[in-house]
Amino acid sequence: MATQNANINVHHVTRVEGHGNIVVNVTDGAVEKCEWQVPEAPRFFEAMVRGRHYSEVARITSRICGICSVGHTLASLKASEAALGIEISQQTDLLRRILKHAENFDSHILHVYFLVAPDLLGAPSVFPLVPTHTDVVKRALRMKRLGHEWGSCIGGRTTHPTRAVVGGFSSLPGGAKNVREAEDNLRELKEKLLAAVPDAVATFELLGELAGGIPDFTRETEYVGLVDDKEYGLYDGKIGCVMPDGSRELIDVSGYRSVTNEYMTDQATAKFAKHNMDSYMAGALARINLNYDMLHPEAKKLAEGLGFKTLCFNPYMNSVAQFVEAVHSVYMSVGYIDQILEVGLKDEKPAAPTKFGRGAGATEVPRGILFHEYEYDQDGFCTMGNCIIPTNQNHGNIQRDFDKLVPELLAMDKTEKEMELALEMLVRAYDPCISCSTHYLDVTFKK
Amino acid sequence: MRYLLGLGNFAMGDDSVGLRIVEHIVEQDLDKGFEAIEVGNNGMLVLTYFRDDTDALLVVDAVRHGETPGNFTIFAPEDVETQKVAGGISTHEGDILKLIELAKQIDQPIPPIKILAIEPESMEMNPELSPALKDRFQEYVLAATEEMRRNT
Repeated sequence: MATQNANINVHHVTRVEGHGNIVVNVTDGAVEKCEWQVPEAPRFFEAMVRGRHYSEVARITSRICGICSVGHTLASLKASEAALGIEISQQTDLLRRILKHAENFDSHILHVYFLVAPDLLGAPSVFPLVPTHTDVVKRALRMKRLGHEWGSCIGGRTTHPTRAVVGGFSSLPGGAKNVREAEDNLRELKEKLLAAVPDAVATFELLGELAGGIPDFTRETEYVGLVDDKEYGLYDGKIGCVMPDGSRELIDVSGYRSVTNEYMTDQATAKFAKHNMDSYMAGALARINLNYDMLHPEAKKLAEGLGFKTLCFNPYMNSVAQFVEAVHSVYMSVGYIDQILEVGLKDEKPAAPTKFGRGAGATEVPRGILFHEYEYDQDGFCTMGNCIIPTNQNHGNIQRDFDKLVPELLAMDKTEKEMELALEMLVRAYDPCISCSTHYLDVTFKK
Repeated sequence: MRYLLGLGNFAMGDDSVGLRIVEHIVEQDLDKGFEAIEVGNNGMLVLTYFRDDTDALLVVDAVRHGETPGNFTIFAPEDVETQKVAGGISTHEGDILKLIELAKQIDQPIPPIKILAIEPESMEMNPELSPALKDRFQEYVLAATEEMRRNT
């Protein structure tokens, strides 16, 4: 007997960044309402950059998100450099790739351990897990700290990086005073990365133990993410789209609007996106579906150990994909450091503009592909800005998942609470980062 | 090492006050003898400064603590109790008090921590501070820098 009636009203899904609501009404077996609602207001960043000099724009847009501030910085720099006709050096390219990997690692660890793992362990948050899983929590914090030190070494700091500027870097890794010291900082970072491998392996073992708790849900959709002809698409590449039948399409970043096709709905103030189908997914699962063969062999080996196969159409597996990427990031960054040290680090000055015009840039952030586009006047001041974040690109896909999942849950005779948890877990799997999150304290003084 | 950490979201009105204070201190080159860091909404980052070699940590944040909007207070975490009912530690609902609780539970070192608490007026989407906080912004900067230089 299928569930006949359900009334789910989750306002502010917990363990996600910002406010999103789940509303499901089922009467006598008929789904009357099933919505992923995103009450988000405009944030004015595109207006804020207008009239600002190109040297200031990335610093402003990095504030769009504290978790993805490196990604916003890099997408912004790439867009500005495209508009300004700037070619960056090989060294800058490699250092930015290391920085990008640091951000993804840091965010993925936070998401997998602190936001998703409690679901798989049947806990409402990480707190009840501390007495029973102390070593796991300690490991998570150890890895989170590594992500921070990794990003800080290259970017100056993990959140709102200061050293990455238009045309290159303003100072050497670790803030070193000279090249030799900077190379030592990179060697030290490499040692820290390699020292993290046992923690990564232990995490995979944990994921293997918990994998049975990942809901078995499949919905074929389109996946969109960067595809780089040299490596796994993360920092750079073309926009790749893969359809459920495996057919692929590559689009130049300058044509990003033909992919995102943003539109408004009645259920959300945030924009939705669609491409070949009526929604698409961005994020770690999309990247893996597009780039699986380009994974570092060690990451691929661990993924295979978990039975991960592409194309994977289970959105709940996004969290597993994130951790596969975290391991990939460790090994890739070690490789980049080796490449830099092999030719020798140079104290380079940032490259200067050769023109002033319009340009778009894309990079992958933890939640998916991110686009920035700017236009500059002949004095280098911004006249137009456009930023399309991955969370908004995923809203439509979350809704389509809901549309398929709710009837399946009803048919499985799930209780209202079980349905609510399944829907919340689905939202959390996408790791959405909605802009309206606040972080204030609310306290009373002890008597 | 002494750290000044600014928490908040730039897009959410007075929630951004801590970030703006840190930004101003760095831009004006006032961060002498301490490091000023924008933590933003990456709240878990605070835990990376819970180390044996951290001599002092001042968190600058919007705090509802029963004051008139714009007023500020400096206190230690042990002086207060959280009123937030959310039980998780997401980047959304986590706050410094929850992070301290977590650190204690796993025996992580807890450095001397103070909170410069600024009573917010509005934490709705707004790229600017409310007038009540904007008018007193320099007082917050002075209070933060004085606190960071105390006992150095």
